[in-house]
Amino acid sequence: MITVNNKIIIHHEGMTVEDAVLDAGEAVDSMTIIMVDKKIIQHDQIDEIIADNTNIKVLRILSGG
Amino acid sequence: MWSKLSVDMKNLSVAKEPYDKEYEELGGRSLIAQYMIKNVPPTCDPLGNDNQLIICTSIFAGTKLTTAHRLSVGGKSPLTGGIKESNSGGFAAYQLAGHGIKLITVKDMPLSEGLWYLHIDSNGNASLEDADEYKEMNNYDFVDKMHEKYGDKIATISIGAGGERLYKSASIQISEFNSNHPSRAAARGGLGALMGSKKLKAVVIENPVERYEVEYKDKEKFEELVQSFNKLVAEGAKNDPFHNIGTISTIEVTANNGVLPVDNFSGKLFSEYKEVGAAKFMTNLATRGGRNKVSCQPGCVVQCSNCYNDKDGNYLTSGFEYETIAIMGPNCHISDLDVIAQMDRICDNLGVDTIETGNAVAMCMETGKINWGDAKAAISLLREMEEGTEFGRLMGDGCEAVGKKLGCERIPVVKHQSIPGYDPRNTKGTGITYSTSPMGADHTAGITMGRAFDDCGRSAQAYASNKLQVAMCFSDSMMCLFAFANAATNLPILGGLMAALYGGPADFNRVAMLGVKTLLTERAYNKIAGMKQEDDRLPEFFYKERSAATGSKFDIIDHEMEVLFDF
Repeated sequence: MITVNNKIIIHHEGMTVEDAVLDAGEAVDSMTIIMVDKKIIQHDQIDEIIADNTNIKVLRILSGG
Repeated sequence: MWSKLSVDMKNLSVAKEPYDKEYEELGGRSLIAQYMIKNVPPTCDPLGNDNQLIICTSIFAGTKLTTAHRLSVGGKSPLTGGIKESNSGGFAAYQLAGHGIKLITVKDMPLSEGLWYLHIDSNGNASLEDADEYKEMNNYDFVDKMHEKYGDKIATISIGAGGERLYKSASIQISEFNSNHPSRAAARGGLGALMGSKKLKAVVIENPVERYEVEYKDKEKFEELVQSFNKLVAEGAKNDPFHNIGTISTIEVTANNGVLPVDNFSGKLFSEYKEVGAAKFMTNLATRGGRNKVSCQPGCVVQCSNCYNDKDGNYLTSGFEYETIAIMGPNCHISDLDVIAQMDRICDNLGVDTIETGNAVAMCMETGKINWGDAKAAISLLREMEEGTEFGRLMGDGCEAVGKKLGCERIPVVKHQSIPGYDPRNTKGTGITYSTSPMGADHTAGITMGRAFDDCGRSAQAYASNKLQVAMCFSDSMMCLFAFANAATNLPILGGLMAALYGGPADFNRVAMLGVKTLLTERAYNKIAGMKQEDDRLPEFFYKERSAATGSKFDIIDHEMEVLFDF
């Protein structure tokens, strides 16, 4: 099981961060920040393969800081 | 019934009076706009007798609406020469609301030398107290002294030596909930200098014996709507990087699209951005006992604040934000997060705006007074500001003063206020906001950065800026904009909240009109103060120089900006 923003996704062999994010109905764009198991990853790392029980957050910048 | 405190510095008196009926449905920025147009002559000297310092709570102060306890500070700006509202989180608005105080006005100036602070005791009695012994004391020490004197549950609104010396970049610092650090700032526009000109060192608010109970038109409905609103914000916050990381997360976005300012808005990309980015920040928090997800005010569910420790695990600063990091970091070619945190601490302590100060440091780098990226030299400049040397005082007057003195040709200011952490060539709607906001270049006045606006093409940029500037006017009257952003999917609820609190129609239009009226009033104020159309423009270099990252110039033509306020 993979958690993406509190949604549960079924894990499969070879699943990437991007696969899980898309399965969860989330989109990655220039305003999003991705955290995998509480670590921030760069957008060019979304094709990395993830293990079961990974927790992913797709965080969207809503306003200027 | 809400009350107001009228502080007369000429007679050194404080009157507690019923809050004005005419301002009943106003708070924060909207209250400051309407109060100023009637009571503060737009042509007055910002540091003279006729200017007033206005401190107020929001429309929903005293209620359980999340982030309703923003503190707004206003007056004619010593930096811009126009109307100014600067708001901050922290504990003070919550404590003022606890005493039933909606508004504090401070007028005139003392006839004799001296320094005072306004003390509000636990029964809500207000008096001016002698503060001579705290003269030139900076904020952290001052707040410690007040805690020794009045206990741990006080809230403070204070100025450091920066405000006392009338630095045009002087901030007003507000103590943070729980930590009590004076790390929240009403930073922009030099309102600390206005407070200093009144010889008012601080407002010290004791914990009320009994909290003031707000009068509702329909309490049950209000509480029902508050519950929905707070839930909406809390749900949104779960996937909000400001909650999960902090505002520093913005770096991860701006660094890659040319929006992050680098080397005095040169338009270059900053290859070392990860050194000042979110991952580094989170690692430093985790390994040094720091914290994120900190509420700066009671009841905040966004919790964007933090506590940042040094390498030895000792407290260094809090409320360590994107704007500070962008302007003092990449914009000065400094890539050491600890150095930037140290600069932030110096600024909070002295009581000066980090954006204005960071841009002033960049002026010194641009003109070769110090080298790009020279962190040690940058800290030395800030130490000069603390010591009050001749150059330190010039630095205290901000970016434009330093740039002009050093002969810099690329001075990033609008209405004399320096530009925050978004390069306007690559977020053009934001550039329109910088240009036309009555506040001067302001990152809280309506940033349009993001696909929804930036991908809409040029024609949509003025529209986007218009809508967001209005929205920020009512957001700044009600709550923190980060809560507002998370509730943007159901803004009509704000009309319902207004109706349940004050009566009248549960109609979002009244909220939108509050924003429009505020913005137009502020513009009218500035016009009477002498501002002209040419003041609504970015510096020329943004029109002439292409961003090295994207090849883009700021190409919004004057006409597009001039129709912006045709509501």
